[in-house]
Amino acid sequence: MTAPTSPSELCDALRTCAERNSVIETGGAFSKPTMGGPIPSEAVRVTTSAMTRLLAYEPADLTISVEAGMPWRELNRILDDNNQFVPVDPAYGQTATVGGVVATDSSGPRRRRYGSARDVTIGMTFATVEGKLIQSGGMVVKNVTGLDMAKLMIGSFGTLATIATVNFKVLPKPVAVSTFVFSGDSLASIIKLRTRIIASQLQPVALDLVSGSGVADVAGAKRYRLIAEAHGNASTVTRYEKEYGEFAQAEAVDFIGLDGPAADQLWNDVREFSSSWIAAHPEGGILRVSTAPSALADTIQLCEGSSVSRAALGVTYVGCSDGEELKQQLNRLRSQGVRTLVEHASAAAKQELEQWTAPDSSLAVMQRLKNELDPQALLNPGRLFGKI
Amino acid sequence: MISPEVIEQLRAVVGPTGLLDRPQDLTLYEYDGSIDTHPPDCVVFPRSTDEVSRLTKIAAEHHLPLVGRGAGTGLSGGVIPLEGGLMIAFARMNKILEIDYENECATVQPGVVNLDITVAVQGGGYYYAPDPSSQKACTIGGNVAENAGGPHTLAYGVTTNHVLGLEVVLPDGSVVEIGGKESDLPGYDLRGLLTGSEGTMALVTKVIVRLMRAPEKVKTLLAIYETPQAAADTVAGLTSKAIIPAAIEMLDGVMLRMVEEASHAGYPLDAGAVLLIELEGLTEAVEEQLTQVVSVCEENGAREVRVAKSEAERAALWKGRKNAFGAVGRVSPTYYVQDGVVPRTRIADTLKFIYSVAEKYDLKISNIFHAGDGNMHPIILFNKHIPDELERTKKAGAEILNYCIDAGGAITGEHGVGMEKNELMPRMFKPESLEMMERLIRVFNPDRRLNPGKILPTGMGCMEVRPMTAGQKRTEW
Repeated sequence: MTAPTSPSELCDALRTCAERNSVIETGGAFSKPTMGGPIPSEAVRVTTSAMTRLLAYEPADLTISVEAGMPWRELNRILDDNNQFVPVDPAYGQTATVGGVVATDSSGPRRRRYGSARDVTIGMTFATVEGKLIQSGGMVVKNVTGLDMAKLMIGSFGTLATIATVNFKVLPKPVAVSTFVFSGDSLASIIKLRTRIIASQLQPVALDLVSGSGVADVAGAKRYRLIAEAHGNASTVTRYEKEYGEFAQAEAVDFIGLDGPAADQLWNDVREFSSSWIAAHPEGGILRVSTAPSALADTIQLCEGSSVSRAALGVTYVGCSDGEELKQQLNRLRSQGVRTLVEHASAAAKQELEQWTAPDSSLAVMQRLKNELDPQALLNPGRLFGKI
Repeated sequence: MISPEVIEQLRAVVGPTGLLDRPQDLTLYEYDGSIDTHPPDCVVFPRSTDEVSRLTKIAAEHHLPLVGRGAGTGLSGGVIPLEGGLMIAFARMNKILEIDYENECATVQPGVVNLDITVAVQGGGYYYAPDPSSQKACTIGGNVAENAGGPHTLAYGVTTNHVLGLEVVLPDGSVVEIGGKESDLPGYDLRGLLTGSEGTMALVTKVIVRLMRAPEKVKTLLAIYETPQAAADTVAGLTSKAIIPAAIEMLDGVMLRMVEEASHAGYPLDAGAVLLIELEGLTEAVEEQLTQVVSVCEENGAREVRVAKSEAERAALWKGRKNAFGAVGRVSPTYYVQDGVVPRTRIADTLKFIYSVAEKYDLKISNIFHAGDGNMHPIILFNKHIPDELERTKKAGAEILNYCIDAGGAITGEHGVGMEKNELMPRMFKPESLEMMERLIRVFNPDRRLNPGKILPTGMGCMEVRPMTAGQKRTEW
């Protein structure tokens, strides 16, 4: 394991490995070992975990620049001191590094309003296997100077280069935050509520649909829970409570409002659905299902068991208890033409499954990009769901 | 020159009325909203993706330079066919193909005018957020190429944050689908890479854009100041109070007098600067924010704060802002708009520097810009018939952009690099970063026939980057 302590050491480490033709496994905290495709065991590990510096932070400019190995929770702590935040709320938030969150484009429930890492990253440097440090973007919130190369790194699972530093735009924390839980046994009612909320003036920053048991339990809750978070001031939050309550009554579903530690705990459970599931079911896994938001009800009906959906976005995370269930669910969804990939699974399960069905017309372009940046295919080979 | 045989092949694709090659027609396609010009050899007007693909294949076969064009409103020379060749104009691909409220998106052809999307969906209570000042004319294909912004991107982000999917034609004529209504499709973020690539990597033939719910309440106010400094301090004051309005636009005294004479928006003629601030959201939130914003304005020395009382008053205030370039045109037929960005806390000193540059070069410079995100738009007025005035204008512009870079900023916030600022790129990026951009462009556009001469400094074609001149400082962060 090599642990460079600066971007230039990271460049040296990658170049040295490439000169020896060594396969390289890069990562930050390696907190998500079940995610992505398997990497050959002879790979040399290069970690950014010793690159943890805060490079620049000007609260009045609402921007921050950090090295990729800084723990995500540390970034949040620094911003918290100034009552600011990066509005991305990924899973593995307690263990992941900044670089890891960005490289996997991990996001969470608040994506409804604030987007994912791709929407809050304003600049980046990354190290190539040639040992060059490349800069994209900068430290201002609006910038179209040159190609947005950072976009290519975000969600690339380190298969093109290794993220060295990241610049974010940040936000002041909202004055008031409140959580609302709708629960019922009728999926149709819950879906109607979801549609009504999305079309209403009362836009939530997060809107997740939790089905089945085992995660994000609320006392007395029924089979389907729609959980919304509102950001605003005291009077708007009161209005959310009143009008959401009326929505719930119209659909005859249960409705409660939550604040403080109870709400934090609930959102933590929702956010960490995948990580808790895989810890509890080491032989199982998580499928990630992408459908148009309007097809959400069909998707949830197809996926038996426990799942969490970003209800406005149409992305559903489905928990599978073991390898067999993983295979069956995957086959069922794919046979219906639903785009599904294996996001988390044990090494053994991954060997047996096609983790990712290729995108039709754009895979060739992706392979050309990989070839340009990493022609010997040394960087995290196979990690981008076994294909790249 | 394109041979008559090739012209006939192109005409066969687009039909007899779909091609222009007479010199008097071509001059209409030699310019955009910036100051450089160069005519194409031929302009074609395809009606479908298939026609774009076939035209592109003919261009590839005959090694013709190729450039896509929307409405030609760009401000950095992005659509100037620097090497002539074939221009593919998207004027006939101007249909809104689908409006899908349930999935909060619309599928449009590249020639659809930005504002027409909002007009088409506002009855349903939705809008398309990015709103460049040219939104009445500019097209969505051009917006994607340039990653266009606008006043309201302060709260909701620029074009790249509102594109869900693309269909593109690569320079070899192949058609590629990227993203779509389904989120999180696996693989690299090609839509993020292509958005803002200034037409150098692919031609956009279809765009799926995100629609947003129109706000319940909108309040627009005009804060009037004796000095630009006080207006700039207000912007910093709002940030420190954790208030992020939907838009904060600043007009300095020079600008607002030109605007008022042209638009009669009700701007005061004797002020040093005004801020146009818009708040939107739920009624309760807007009311509370309004009180806070007015008090921040007053704390920072606003002599008057006017809140628009009706939609007509609000429209008048925005009309002044959106028609600003037209107002400048009345005073000076030639002007040069810049697009540098600085951290928000540096707005006041950047303005001071801009005024000193105006004095140094004996030029009139007015300022109208997106103050909330530090995106400056100094407009340098010049008369091209006065000897050396264009030269002084270019020098003044370069000094201002260099100041933005040294302030930790960037040379373009929304207009693009194009062929206007490409020679400044080595001040922003080290050679290896510029080389990487060149390599990525060539992954899509191997011989750089598609929109040649844009973004990267001249000489980059042979992988050379000219070293910086002595005394120039590169930004480090």
